[in-house]
Amino acid sequence: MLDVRTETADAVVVVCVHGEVDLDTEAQLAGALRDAIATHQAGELVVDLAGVPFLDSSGVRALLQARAAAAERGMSMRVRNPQDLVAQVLRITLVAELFGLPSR
Amino acid sequence: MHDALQDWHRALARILHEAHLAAPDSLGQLVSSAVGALDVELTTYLVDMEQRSLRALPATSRPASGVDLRPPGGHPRGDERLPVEGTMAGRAFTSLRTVVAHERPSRLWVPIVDGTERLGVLEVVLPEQMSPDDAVVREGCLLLAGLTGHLIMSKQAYGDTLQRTRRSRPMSTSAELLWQMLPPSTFATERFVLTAMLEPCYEVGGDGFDYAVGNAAIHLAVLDAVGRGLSASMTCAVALSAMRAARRAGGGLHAMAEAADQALTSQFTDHRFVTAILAELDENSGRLRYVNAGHPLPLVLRGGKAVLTLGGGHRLPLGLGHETARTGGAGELGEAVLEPGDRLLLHTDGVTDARRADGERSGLAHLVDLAERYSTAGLPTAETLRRLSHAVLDQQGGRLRDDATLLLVEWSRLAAQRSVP
Repeated sequence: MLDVRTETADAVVVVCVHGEVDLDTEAQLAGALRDAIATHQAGELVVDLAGVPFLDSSGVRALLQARAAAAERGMSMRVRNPQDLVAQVLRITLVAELFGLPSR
Repeated sequence: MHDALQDWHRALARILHEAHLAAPDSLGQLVSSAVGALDVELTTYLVDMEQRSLRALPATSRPASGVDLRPPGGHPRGDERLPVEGTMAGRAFTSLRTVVAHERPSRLWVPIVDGTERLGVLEVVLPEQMSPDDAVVREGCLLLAGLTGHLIMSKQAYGDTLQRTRRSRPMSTSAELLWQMLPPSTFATERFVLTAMLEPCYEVGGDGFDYAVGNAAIHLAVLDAVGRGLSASMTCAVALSAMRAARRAGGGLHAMAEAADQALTSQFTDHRFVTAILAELDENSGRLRYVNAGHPLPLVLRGGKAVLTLGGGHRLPLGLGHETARTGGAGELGEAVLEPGDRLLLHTDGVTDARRADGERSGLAHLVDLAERYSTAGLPTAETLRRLSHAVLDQQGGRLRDDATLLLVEWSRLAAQRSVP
């Protein structure tokens, strides 16, 4: 199970995720991100992954879906504080840049 | 002068003639009855999908004369199976060598392959007047097993008996869809051997592999569709089919990746994607060119040691290619040059992300460790991979959450020779 907390400040909605994101928890992350986008009037969505030690390709898809949903509502989205292993997954799948992270 | 091999040739000819009108479930009976004049007793065993047991085809012959030592009522013996580990049958299967049991009656265990695809073993119980060490008998049995292998492959499309024999349990819809798209798991020419394994084989969803050999080049690919189950299988099917169609139309690696991008984005709108390695190996020079669509890096093993990870050729996963404009171009192809004897190992993240019994994720270092350990034994390439794949599975207590695929290419003439019975 993931622990997901959402806070809003200065037109930024921050979603802090704790736990491993894989096939079993992907849906929970996707749902939390959908809710955050739908219920907050913000210009930017920030997904804080400091509490995520592992994220696989299903997690990447949840992030990509959120990015598209955010864009539809005129919000930008970025990911911050990925742990080493997660940053590596985002770099290998080449999506790091899409989330405003360094690509190397 | 009587040529003793002639009797075997006659049996082979009879099998060939009768095979025209043979249903898949009569294959065992057909082969058995064709050798009736030789007085040998045959049982055909097929290896199961997980490559752990050899399972008897539900038909066998009785010798025309002599004593049948089998228990009465034992025919047909459809549920009979022999473990690959620790049996003579298994030794014949894994080593691709005929194994002799010098007992009374004596018997031979002969590997059955189609090309280099290992299908099972043929048990040949010899009549008293035949010696298991007679070169003619050995050659006759090899020919018989060879023809049986071809027939198994050509007949399995026409019925369920052969597939059912190979299954220890029912298959999920996602796995059924996936397996019917995939090429046979092992192929070799004089220059190389390619072999792949997918687990968990009865429930696989999103993983897949492909290859095509021709014009002195080997096209190969490993794919991993996001998610699992039937939805992931369908994603993989779309990507794989698009890649194949592009390749068969003469397209190169980039064209294949773009075709998959297009097919996926036109079919699905939920950001599903497929990570993949698409590669082309020049059979003569060992030059490897590849595209890495967001996939774990291929490894090169040399002299039993992992010496290289191939970190070039990056592009976005298949299905996300339309994002390319924002992330900087289709990119260069990755390139590497293999040395004779090198092994190229491709894997999906299910191999390294899987949890071991102690709860830790398995990790790349562990895969490298296992690959190094199993690549030094001088085994047939398919056997090396079977052991490696089982080692990966066993360390997770036999249960995988995600698909785990391994594809191994050995660019070696010696490996090719070792892959033929």
